[in-house]
Amino acid sequence: MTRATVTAPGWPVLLFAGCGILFLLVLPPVLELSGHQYLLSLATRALIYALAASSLNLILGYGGMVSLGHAAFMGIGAYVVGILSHQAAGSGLLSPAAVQGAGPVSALMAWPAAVALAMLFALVTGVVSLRTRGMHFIMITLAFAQMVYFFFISLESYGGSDGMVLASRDRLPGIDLGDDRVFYYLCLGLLLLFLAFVHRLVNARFGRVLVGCRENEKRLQVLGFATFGYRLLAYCLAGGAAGLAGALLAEQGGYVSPAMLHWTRSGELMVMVLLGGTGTLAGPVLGAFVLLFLEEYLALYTEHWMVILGPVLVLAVLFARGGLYPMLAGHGRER
Amino acid sequence: MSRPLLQLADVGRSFSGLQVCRDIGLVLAAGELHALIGPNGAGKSTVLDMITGLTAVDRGRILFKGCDVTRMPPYARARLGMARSFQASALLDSFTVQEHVALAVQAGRGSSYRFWRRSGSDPELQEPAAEIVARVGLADRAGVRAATLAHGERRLLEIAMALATRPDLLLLDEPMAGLGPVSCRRLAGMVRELKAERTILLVEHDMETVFALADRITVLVQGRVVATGRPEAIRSNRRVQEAYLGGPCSL
Repeated sequence: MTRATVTAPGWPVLLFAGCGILFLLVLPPVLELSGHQYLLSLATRALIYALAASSLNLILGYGGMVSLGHAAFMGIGAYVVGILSHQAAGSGLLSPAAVQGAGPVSALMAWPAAVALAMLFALVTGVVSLRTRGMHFIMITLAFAQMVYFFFISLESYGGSDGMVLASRDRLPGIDLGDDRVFYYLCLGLLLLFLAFVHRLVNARFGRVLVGCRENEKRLQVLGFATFGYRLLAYCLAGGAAGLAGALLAEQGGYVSPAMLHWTRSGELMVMVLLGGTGTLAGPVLGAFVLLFLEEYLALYTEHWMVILGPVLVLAVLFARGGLYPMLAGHGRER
Repeated sequence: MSRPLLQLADVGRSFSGLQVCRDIGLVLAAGELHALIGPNGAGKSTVLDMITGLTAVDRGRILFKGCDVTRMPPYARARLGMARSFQASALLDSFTVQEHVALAVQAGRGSSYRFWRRSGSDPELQEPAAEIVARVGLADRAGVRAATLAHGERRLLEIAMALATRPDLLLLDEPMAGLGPVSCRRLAGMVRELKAERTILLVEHDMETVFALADRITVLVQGRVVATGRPEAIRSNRRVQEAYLGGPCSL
């Protein structure tokens, strides 16, 4: 008889997911009613970083590919939005209505372009970097990311190291991206869509091969899997999702700069994944929220907030083995 | 005899100047159980590595089903129909027994670029997997993760995975190493059963099993083939006795 092999998610997982989604749904009205509207932009940023961290988790947590260059994909996505917006503003195509507020560029054009370019970059760099393992992989992804970082710094026509401010958010038919609350819910929707996609992916045949590669790639090759292709595709999917996160971040903050793709940002994304729980669906989301809100609140008390944040992270890693989410949901690695 | 299933011709390999294997010639006829024996460090595992493609050969050619596979990557050779169990079990610690075997079944069933359907509830994978799990006697352990399996169970799972790809050639690397007498007998029984279905290359230290099961035996000493033949011939071969046991005696 066939046994239930992929264990159905237990009730703590479902409870956690339900509470989490409910919390994120009611957050904007609650913030408004309690007079903390200013936190909405922070929460939106946390959602965007959660998307980026989740995409990193796809390759790091499920695929075992420890990349320290993930911010490059975000940066590429952000710059696609920034450059398109800049070009439209400068080319005289700007309609008077656009100057008034509605952005000149359609998000339906800009965002897919951001995703596509990030995926292309992932494809080209992945073909090279995925031939290495472990520490070499970390270093080579870092090197590629720094190349992109310096490339954008040298782009004087797009602000160089200062970056550039966007005139307004792009336009999306039927949805007012300029409304912060709408934008928050859009980011939430995109994040949940991506998480659902990852959930299906890792439980499908493709995902079994990907997770298998994390555990023992040689073994999978001897079984007959051409593992390189599976890892490369996962790498491209993760790059594309991070590119989308970058595009959203540019829209949300209204500016892009090389600082978005400095290697410390890649490090931050990795901390979010590790803090929340690698190889879990909810972990990176939790990690993104905890890290961003900790930064924000510690910065209120002292400008040396990193001195506090550092030890907190060390303690979290030491005592919440496997991350905060597995600790809270009371189980190990979920799939 | 028809075309051999596997043929190694003058295969050699050296690691940083040290010749681990040299001039290895090995012919496996379809349907036979061929045992590869030799003292520790004779290069038996290296031979298996070269056959599966985990180690490149320096010299010589390897033919499988008449195909030159000498430069083929491991996955391509596996797809041609060879499967291997590992000496130091190479399992996926977060996978359950059933998941291991389902993954191996998956390897033999076309493309795995499928992104949506749950593999865990796919009867095309799970039913054959459950059958094989039951066959090796691990049915009641199907939901257990590999990390918590006992040594003997890990060996059985290794064989289950190798079987799940439905290979024509089964390479077994010391399946009985480290097993107690009971598990040993059980495994020997299983190998005997498999013998009727597949061509097997068996690397094993347990001489009793080897001489009881093998159709032919090849003896490897210090990276060279010193003898190949039927068990009776090997038993009485002077060179084997000298090289293998350090002097004339009876095996």
